[in-house]
Amino acid sequence: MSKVKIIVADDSLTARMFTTRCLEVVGLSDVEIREAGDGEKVMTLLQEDSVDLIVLDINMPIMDGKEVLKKVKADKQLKEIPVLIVSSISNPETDKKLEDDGAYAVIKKPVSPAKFMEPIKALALDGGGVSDGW
Amino acid sequence: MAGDTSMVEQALSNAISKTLEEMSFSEVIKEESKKLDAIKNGVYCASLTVSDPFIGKLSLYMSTSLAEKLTEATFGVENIVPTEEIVLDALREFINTIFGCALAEIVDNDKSFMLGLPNSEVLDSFDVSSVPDAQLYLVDQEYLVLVPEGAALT
Repeated sequence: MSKVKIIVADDSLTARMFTTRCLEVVGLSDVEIREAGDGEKVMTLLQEDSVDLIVLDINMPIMDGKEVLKKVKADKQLKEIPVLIVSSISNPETDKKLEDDGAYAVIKKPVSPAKFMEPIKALALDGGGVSDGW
Repeated sequence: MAGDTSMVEQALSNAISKTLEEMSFSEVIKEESKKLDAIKNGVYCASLTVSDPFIGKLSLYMSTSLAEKLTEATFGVENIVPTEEIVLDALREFINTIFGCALAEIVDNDKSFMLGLPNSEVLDSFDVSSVPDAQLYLVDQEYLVLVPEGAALT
């Protein structure tokens, strides 16, 4: 079984670490995390290899998450990759705009494993391994 | 207005509690009496501005020891040595999360809001008594100071 490949994009090392830990705790047992500190790096990683999921902060330097989301969803090769937005800037108005632009879901910071469970299960990235009793 | 000020203060209090409890498993207690004059001998500071729907700024100040403790707790003590660079990064993430949480309570649901990129730095000291709107919190028996600026936040 091939590894689940995930890009975790945030300009904060702390945030990337925390998100990565949540993804591992939620039950993704065989996951390969690729980190990006800005949107430009995300696009570079996407050119190098296919991934199964992008976890994306909005507020990043050089190229922000909104721009990355638009580029990914406009690209024929990339548009099917689900994008989870992880952001401190989250309310119903901003979340709806992001989902209208193609985000699979918006997770509000501070993140926790529980917040990732539902989208990970729905996307079937866990191979059925996430326990409801977690 | 007094009512709005109270609501903003409560939103900030809720936000800092939620953020530090979930990220660093630390209990945060609001300190109502202003017992602290200054933080000396090394201060970590982080700040972040909001530009829409109003202009404002939120800053966070704490001692070096508290900043290192919170960073270690967030990363897991066994996972890192809290260098200055890592602690500064952690503080930027704390202020980013705190301000976002608070604004989600303060700003109407049908409005979006825009945050800048957080900044962080190390100072020699911070004079709390010179900042009338400073909010004090106790975390692991050390003071953490939150300073809101801007008409909508004070």
